[in-house]
Amino acid sequence: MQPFAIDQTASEPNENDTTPVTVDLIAQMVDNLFTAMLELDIDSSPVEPPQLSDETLSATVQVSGDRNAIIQVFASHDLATKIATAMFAIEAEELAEEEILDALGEVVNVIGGNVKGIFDQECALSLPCVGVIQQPLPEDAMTVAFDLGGEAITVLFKERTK
Amino acid sequence: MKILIVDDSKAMRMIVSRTLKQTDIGNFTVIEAGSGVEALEKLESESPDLILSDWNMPEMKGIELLQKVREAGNNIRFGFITSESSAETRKQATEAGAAFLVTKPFTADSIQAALEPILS
Repeated sequence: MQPFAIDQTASEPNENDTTPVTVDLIAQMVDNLFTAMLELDIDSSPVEPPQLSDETLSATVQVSGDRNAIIQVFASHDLATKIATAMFAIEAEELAEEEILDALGEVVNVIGGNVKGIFDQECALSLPCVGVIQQPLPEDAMTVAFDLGGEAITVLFKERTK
Repeated sequence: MKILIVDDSKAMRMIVSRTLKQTDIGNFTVIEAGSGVEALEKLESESPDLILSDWNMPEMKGIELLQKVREAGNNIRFGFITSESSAETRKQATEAGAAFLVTKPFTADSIQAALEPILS
């Protein structure tokens, strides 16, 4: 998914478009985000999602409109700190908790925006909601994890019917 | 040249600022705003030459910021750097008078490619 300047001939939203969001597409989004923008070493080959604990951090966005979906990203506090360190370009000790949450929120925001672009219909993207994980997780969701410098970052995607 | 970066995420303001420094766009200083309201204040007090704004922000979305800027008769160069990437978003941005829209995740090359036509 390459960045682009405004296409003056952009097509109208396609109401009949039901392009599915696949593991491969999520992998591509995650790879672009961490490799191109944050210069972090991520393996875009999916790995087994780790067990989530009550301490796991979670960032969530929702896409709502002609198509509806929830996208969540889960990471340990250590991994979220590593991401924030890359985003802010400062040492971990200098990071405030708010900045660590902000960084994870931006990760899910980028993925959510990319999902909305795939939907390409009349949809709105919510602001990220970040905190400790809220159980239970959505049922029948696509959950995929990737190795980010030795730790797993998990992405959950669930399309909802209206 | 003064560039005003508008994003409610401090992390993203940092990344945009850092990425700008990796381009060849020459001498510039960065001003930051964490909201549309703050951006309008900085527009008044700092007179930037270019605004780079997020789209999805609480209270005032980036598109509303652009509309307010244009309604005030200000033709400052304005571009979006956003995770939004739909055709509808691009259409709205164009109609409101944005010069470009760069989708996150971005690179120094994609930012430079967007900026070159409007800075030359």
